[in-house]
Amino acid sequence: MAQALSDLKVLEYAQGITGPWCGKLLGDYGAEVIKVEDPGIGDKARRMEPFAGDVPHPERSGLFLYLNTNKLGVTLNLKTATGQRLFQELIRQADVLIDNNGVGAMDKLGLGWKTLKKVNPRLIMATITPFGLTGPWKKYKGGNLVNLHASGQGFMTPGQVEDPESHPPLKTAGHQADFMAGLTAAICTLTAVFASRLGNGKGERLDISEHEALAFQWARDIAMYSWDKTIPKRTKAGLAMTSGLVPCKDGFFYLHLRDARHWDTYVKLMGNPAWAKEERFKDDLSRGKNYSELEPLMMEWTMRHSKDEIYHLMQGEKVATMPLFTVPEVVNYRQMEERGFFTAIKHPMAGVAKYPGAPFKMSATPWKIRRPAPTLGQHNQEVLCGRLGCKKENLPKLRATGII
Amino acid sequence: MSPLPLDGIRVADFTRIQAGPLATHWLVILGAEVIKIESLKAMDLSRRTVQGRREDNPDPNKSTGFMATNAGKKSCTLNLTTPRGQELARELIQKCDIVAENYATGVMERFGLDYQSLKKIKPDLIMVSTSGPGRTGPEKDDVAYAPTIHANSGLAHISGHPGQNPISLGIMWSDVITPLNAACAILAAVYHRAMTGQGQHIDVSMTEATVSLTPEPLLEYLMTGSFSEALGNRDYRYAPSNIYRCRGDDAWVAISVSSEEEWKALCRALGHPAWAKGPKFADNYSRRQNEKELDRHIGEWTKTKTPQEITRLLQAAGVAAGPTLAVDQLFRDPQLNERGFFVPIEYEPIGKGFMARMPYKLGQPNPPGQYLPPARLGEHNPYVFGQLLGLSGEEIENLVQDQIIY
Repeated sequence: MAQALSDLKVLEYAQGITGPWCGKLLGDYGAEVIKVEDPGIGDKARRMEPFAGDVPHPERSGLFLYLNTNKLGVTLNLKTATGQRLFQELIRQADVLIDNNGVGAMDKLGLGWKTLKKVNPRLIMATITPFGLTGPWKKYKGGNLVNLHASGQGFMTPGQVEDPESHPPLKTAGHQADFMAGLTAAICTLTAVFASRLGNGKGERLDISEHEALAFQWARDIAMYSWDKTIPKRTKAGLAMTSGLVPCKDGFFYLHLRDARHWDTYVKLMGNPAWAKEERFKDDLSRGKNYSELEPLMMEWTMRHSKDEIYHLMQGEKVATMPLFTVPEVVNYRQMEERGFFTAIKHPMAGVAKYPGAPFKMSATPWKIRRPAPTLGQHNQEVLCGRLGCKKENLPKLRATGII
Repeated sequence: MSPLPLDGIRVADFTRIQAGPLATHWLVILGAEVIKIESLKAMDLSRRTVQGRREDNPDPNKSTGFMATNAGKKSCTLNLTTPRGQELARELIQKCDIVAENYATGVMERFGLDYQSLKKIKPDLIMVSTSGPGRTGPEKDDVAYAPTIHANSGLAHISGHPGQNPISLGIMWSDVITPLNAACAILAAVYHRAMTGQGQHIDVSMTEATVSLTPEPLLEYLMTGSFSEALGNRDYRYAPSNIYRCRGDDAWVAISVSSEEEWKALCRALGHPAWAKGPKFADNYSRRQNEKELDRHIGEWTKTKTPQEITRLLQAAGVAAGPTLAVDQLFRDPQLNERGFFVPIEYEPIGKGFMARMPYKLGQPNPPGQYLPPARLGEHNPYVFGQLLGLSGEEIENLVQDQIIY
């Protein structure tokens, strides 16, 4: 089956998470992505955990292998004139360039937007930076932790704490700020490609700020603040719903009671205990206010039942409740297993492993793994000789001089 | 002004809460005509949020919670529980390019508005369905909201401070991850349709979208058989990397050092304190080993200054640092303001306010984008039923009487 973006050619000179996630999204839905890495060192994600079999090696980083599926890998030293010339040749054949090397980095290499748009007037150059290409913070260093907190997310996490001093603002696990920036960049790139292909065919420079990508996620809170002056905080006060993680026999489940029917259903499942009719638990607000008294009473029942039992009992009554899954339980969740979410990929150096799969399913043009992530410089010959017409006998010389 | 990328694309928007409307919000800004279909029987649930509080019988036109992700969408009211209402919905969909919905699984089927039925009357339709579990699989009928997805995607388990109970995130993270994925999917499908004429169905599961963005602990488990405990704000590779208490009410700063060069820069900015000398903090490995003590020392320094002072000082020295901002402080963020991130909107029922600009600049010098106030509930009934579907004033009047346009 054809893929949605099969006629799109992408060049990626980006490392870490933001740019490569953008490249992977385009690649997994069909685009041809050529990834350019610095010779000898490669993408910094190659040195990031976890490693296959817990053996650190640049070809065994699970994060790199996840982020770079479906890409052709070439090495080019962009500090050399030949490297720059070959890069420009690749630009000539590309629709999109993804760059996350920092404000001004490509200009320094003589490969900035002004140069590249002359090389290829159709080029869409998506530049992802921590704070954007303009403004007083443009030179600021960012990164997952800093960007996440500066965007407003940390201030609201974790939710429902008793004392904000002993529960500082928290970043969520992993590198989600970076992933969100990459996803935003993919949306922007697709928009620009679409506009260009159907419009005047001209290229464009996309200035994607990780700071804005994250702040935009709070569009709702931003608008609400501007009218109502409400400031969401991570404290329990004002909790309007009986919701949260409740302990049970084998862990926790998330109880989410949006209205009176949900509470009534839950009380019925607990066997209609007498305390449920008491004044102090009469509605959402009272239950929220008296939650510390409510929880031990609920636990008389919840501690006798597993999270899976409670999950199915509640879902049977159409009340949104989910078990708190541990990492192994997520991997073995039968819903995702039946949908074929985790996907086995074979890599020459890392072997066979399962990875998270399609973030969304497209019926006519499905997500597909056509090839595993490239080893460093794996496709030098295929790309340089096959696409650029370099002579095969010249490759050893390029290698010896550190250009590839 | 040059045309917007999605000019001429029309969307029938049946989405009702958060994760749904935020996806079609992108399409509005990019120029699409989005027609929101609600009913007095089934309004967008965010209309219940008025002045930051949830109300049971709110004025549907005064909700700021609704405003943010529904601005610029046209509004019509249609009772989808009636056969005539369903028929009118099908007629409208035939005049649209995209259908978006985030009902629980099975609801659109009951209305006869599922993809299999709709593609018969509109073969090149693009339809996007957003749900917790996805539209297939043994648990497809599960009802879900963002906090429950944080539980079953593992996110609540892997976030949090080391050694503490799992946390409830507070923020509606899956509600923003999911629509971003849906918007990406829609654009890929729109592109494909423009090239080939082919439509399709997009199935976005909140759990899957969330897991795709939190791969690290899962990959660790899949590749090594074990997984690390939650790290809080710390980094598994570098130290110091944490947030620190500052001067001011609930004031915090994030500081992240990821190289020896940055460590030296930090020491310089701190005035080469005595504690930083010696073997305890000599290299990254030692700093990771003695991280608690390291964080305590840095915290002693940060608590005498505001997050903004520290950010300026450390960034000037070449160290990544930034304040932990609450939403009111975002409004004073010089970077966002300089880049025109807050777009003024005036909407008569509630007055003047601001909305967030889409997070990138499209075109120069300023992003042309469709930033309009929201419509009143049913405001575009004459346009939708009269102009688009060609009903007469009398027919519309009768449908209103019969509570079909309702």
